[in-house]
Amino acid sequence: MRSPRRRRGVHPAAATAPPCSAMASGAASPRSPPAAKKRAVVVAGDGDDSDVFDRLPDDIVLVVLSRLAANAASPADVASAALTCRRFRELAAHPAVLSRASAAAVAVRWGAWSEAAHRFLRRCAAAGSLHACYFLGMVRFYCLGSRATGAALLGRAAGGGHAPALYALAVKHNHGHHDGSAAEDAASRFMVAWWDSHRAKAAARGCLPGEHGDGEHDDGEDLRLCSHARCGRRETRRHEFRRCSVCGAASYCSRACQALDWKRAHRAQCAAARWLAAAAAADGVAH
Amino acid sequence: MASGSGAAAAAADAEEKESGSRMITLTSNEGKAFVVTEASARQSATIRSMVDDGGCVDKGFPLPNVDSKTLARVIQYSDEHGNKEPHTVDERAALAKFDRDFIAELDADKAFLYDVTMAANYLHIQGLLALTTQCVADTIKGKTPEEIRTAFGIEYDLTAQDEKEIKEEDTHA
Repeated sequence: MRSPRRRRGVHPAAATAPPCSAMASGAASPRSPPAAKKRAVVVAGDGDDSDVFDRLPDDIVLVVLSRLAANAASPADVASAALTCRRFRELAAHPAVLSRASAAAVAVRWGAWSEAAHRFLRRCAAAGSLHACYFLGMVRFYCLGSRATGAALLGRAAGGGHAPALYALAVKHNHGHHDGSAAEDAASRFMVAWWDSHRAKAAARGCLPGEHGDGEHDDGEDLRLCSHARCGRRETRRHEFRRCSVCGAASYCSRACQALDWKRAHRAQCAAARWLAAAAAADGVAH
Repeated sequence: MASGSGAAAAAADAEEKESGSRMITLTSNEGKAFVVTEASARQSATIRSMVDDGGCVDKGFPLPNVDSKTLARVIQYSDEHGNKEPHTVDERAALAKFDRDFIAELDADKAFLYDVTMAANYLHIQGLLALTTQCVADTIKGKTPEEIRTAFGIEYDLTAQDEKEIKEEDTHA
């Protein structure tokens, strides 16, 4: 891991200059415009513009960046660091950094989804980040229709002990019977937004929902979304999801989603329940 | 450890190590000597392995990569962590508070923070290295690239070509 290639100048041994001068001047002087390609090789502590990071060897910067990735609050944290300079950009793409990516660091918002985001997640997953495996697995399995690779990624995350991935696999294999805690996470939010946009697009084109021309998978049949509005899972084949046994209008990927949705919304929406309530009210009036 | 007496000596040696009563001399690159307890010195994996290999305990350890100011600060950390074994919740809390104060003080002087980081890396003091690198990582977190460059005085060295590539690549964040 040790690569002294970047170590520059001398160690600030017995320093001839006050150690904080580099920092202070760096903060005070505004950066020169991007044209500055030439990197002034200044002995640490000596010049105005010396890069304090230049004194740290690559392996320490790697540790710093992987700690950043592990604590990132959003993908932007890692991306910003990577945009700082060429060195950071190279190091931020190192598997040691990507493998430590936190759940928040890989939680790409639907609006920011792109080929590049996909690539970023793939690289994180390949480096061994279980959070990336889970997120990408969910997106591939439910949104992109790449069932095999999605399931494999979920399996990898679950095998590594990632709890939401284990739950996702349970829902997938044992739909409708699994009682678990349906955690509402970044993956769900992504999927909900994804299907919302597809519905909107389909409506704009005036065709049935689900008939979008992605080309990646066959959406011709009428596959239903989980009726729990915050789940975002979609049937992988027709009639996979079980329905509300009272009204038959709502369908759920799992017992957990049904229970949550009943509390959240379906209690008021379920047709039979409404009818019963109305009947009871009418009864009250009649008597 | 070929002979019985050798083993016994080693055992006595180990006992002495346990007690941490032996003193070890560390010498900075300016030639200044620092005398620390062995328990404190053993926070450093580098020194630990040298001590365990036998050798130059009496002569002291020259540390050509570390200056006096940095070494004094590193010893402050390893004294706190090496000489006291936290047992109770209170002791652990006190140690955590020490770490917080320690890093807050370092954070005010970034260049010195890097010196300490380098020394921790060189001496393989895992706890201290974790503390300092985490501090740097926290400084980076939540900033735009421009803010990071300003905070650390990093030269902008990405070419127009790089920028174009990045714009294409990193639109997800």
